[in-house]
Amino acid sequence: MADSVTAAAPLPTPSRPADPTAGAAPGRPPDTFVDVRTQELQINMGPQHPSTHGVLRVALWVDGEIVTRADPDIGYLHRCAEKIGENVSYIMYVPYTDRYDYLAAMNNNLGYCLAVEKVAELEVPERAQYIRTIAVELNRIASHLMAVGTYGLDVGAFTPFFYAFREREEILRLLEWICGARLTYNFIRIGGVMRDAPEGWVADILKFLDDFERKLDEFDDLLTHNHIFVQRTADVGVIPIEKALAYGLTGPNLRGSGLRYDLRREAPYLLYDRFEFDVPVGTGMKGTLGDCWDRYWVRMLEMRESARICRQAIAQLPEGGEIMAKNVRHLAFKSKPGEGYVGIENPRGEFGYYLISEGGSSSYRSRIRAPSFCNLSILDAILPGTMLGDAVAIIGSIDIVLGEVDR
Amino acid sequence: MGLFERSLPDIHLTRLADLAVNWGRASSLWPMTFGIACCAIEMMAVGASKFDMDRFGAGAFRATPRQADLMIVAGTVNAKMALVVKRLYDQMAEPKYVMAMGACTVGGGPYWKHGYNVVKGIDKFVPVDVHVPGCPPRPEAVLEGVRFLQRKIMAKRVLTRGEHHAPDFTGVSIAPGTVGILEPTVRVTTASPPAPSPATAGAQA
Amino acid sequence: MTAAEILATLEKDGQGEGLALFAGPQDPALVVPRERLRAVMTHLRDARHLAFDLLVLVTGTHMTEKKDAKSQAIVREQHFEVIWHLRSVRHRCVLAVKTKLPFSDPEVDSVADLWPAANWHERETFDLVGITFRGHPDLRRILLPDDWVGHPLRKDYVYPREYRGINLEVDAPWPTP
Repeated sequence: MADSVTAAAPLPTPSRPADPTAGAAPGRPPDTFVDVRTQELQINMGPQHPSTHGVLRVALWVDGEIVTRADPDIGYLHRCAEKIGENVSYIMYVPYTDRYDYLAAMNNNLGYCLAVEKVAELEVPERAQYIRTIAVELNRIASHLMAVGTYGLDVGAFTPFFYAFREREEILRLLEWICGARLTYNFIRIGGVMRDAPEGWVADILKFLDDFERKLDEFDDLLTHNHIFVQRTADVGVIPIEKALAYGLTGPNLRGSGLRYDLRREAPYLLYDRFEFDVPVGTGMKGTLGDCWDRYWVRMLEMRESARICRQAIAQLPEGGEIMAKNVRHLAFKSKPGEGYVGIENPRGEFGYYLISEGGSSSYRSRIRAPSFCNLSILDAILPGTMLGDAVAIIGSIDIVLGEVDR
Repeated sequence: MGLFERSLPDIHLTRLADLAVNWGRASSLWPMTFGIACCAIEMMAVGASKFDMDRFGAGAFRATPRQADLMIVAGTVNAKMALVVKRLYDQMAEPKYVMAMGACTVGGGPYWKHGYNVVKGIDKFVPVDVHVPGCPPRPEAVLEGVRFLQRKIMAKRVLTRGEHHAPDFTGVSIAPGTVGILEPTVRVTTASPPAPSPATAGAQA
Repeated sequence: MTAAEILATLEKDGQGEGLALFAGPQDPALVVPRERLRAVMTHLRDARHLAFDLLVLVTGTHMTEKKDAKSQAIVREQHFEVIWHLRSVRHRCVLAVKTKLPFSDPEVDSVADLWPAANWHERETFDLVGITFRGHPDLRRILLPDDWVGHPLRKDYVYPREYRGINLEVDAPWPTP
């Protein structure tokens, strides 16, 4: 980890007008231009930094306030997830999947279980699928709340963080009611879900959703159209569509640039083809299309869509039914040989799980396609040329979770 | 304290001076924002409004180690990060305390077996004052850890001479069979569990 | 479009030389020999009727030697495999492209100039599996420290005991009563 100050070649002096008396006005002395020799400075942002959303180190080369080069350095949270996948049995691996994107743990559980069910050719009963949908969408709302709350914190707004956490605590209470954990759920298991919905759970979710839209309006009043927030995020970090696709961006980052691409629509998994919901995209409302404000706005709108999907799932939830596929002996679960890739729409983008199985009790190769890993690679393309304060706003708008980036 | 540290005789009156200093230190522990992984989210939840940590005085999170006195290491520490943790610990000014939050910092957590670059417990390279187990620990558990640390600080001798007082842990739950809670800076690495201490034997009986 | 259909399209476009279909259980894949990789990938990205513009994932695997249980004949040689997953936004499909590399020479062409998304994926594959990518602009370790020795996702990896003085060993668990 060498962070020596690199002595680059001195930057060219700013151009000065040929006439040294330029700027002279009657009664005012002429401007004097002094030769200033500047040097590029290398500074470290992170790994311990309040705004990097985790242990991310970005080595920045700055010329004054302008970033000239950025080199993200990751790996500070590398927890050997893929090696563990090869050594631990299928059912024992579900808690590890919680810990990649710990803000959207249900979605990670789901991606892993769908991949294993694809390779092992298991069929999940309908009630389990509805409960999975409700859990996953609630978790999407919680994850976006965290994203917008901490984004406000990054650009200097302290209050929205507490408002977002207040709603998030309510969702965590609901998820804790059904599975016992607040953050790392281990709830969606191979073949179904761990536990059926208890009495009153569904009614409480409806009560929460009724209140939630009003609270989102309150949040909008506070942050979204706030003049200072708009000035800090509009026209900052513009990512054009072609660049977004080339760098593998998915999720709200891609939709913020204008491309209406959502895996719940394009390649429906679970029961998403039965629900009516819109896919919000950025429109350049406050500035340029694809700026930080657009990505933030897409997240705010997605929360409303998730609430809509939750309501429809609750309305269509079948009365009784199995919550686990038949003949799944979890402790001695052996998959069939084969390879399968499943990509689902995580709150941060396309979460994929590529499984190579040779028929044993643990996978031969588990490869995780983490959306934040791919989203983060765009940093060294868009950070140069921005100011240091804008760099913080850009990193916050990409909404990364380091557990996922490093796995 | 410098000049006056451990200089006063051990009588009741000077014990009051100790209590005053310790009360000041314990009631305004300023944590460093050092969230590494999932436990960081629970640490943020402790700082947020439902499980307010500010009412215990520990609410002013400082981003820089120079101004913090409590380093809550929240999340898995791997080889690359351990160098950073050690450097941050060295940059903190005395008196400084370390809380190992979460199973990963206590003993490697779920990555204890196949995590080839995970450090199995941060007490392998920094001295830890309180371990809070859990994956992630509930915010109430973190609050209990902070309370625990406050009682430990109250029992220290700063100005007077002599052995540290025994901390008063009444009301703090100690699970039977747990070792290391009463002497957190001693790391037990023997293969067999040590003989149960009187406190835990009393709880088991 | 399934992998079989894409193979047929590629053959019609004149790019089908040396390609094969891995029809395996569950997801099929297009098997491409190492030398034809760049030509096929460029065509997959640029042809309008294929338009694979989103690179989703690059995976490297160390496939160990497999012997038949009874006859002890070698069923599979030890080799490396690299699998690319590509997505077409316009045609709404995903394709897996595979290539096999010999164990003694794990080197393959980089596609980082076709899809900049591949840059970090290839760095990670180099870091964890040890496959080098010819033509990559900046091939260095990404997840592990720069002076780490070994490639962990190989099947013969031995866990290190310490790194730069930090103890990485596992304490023996206490025996259960």
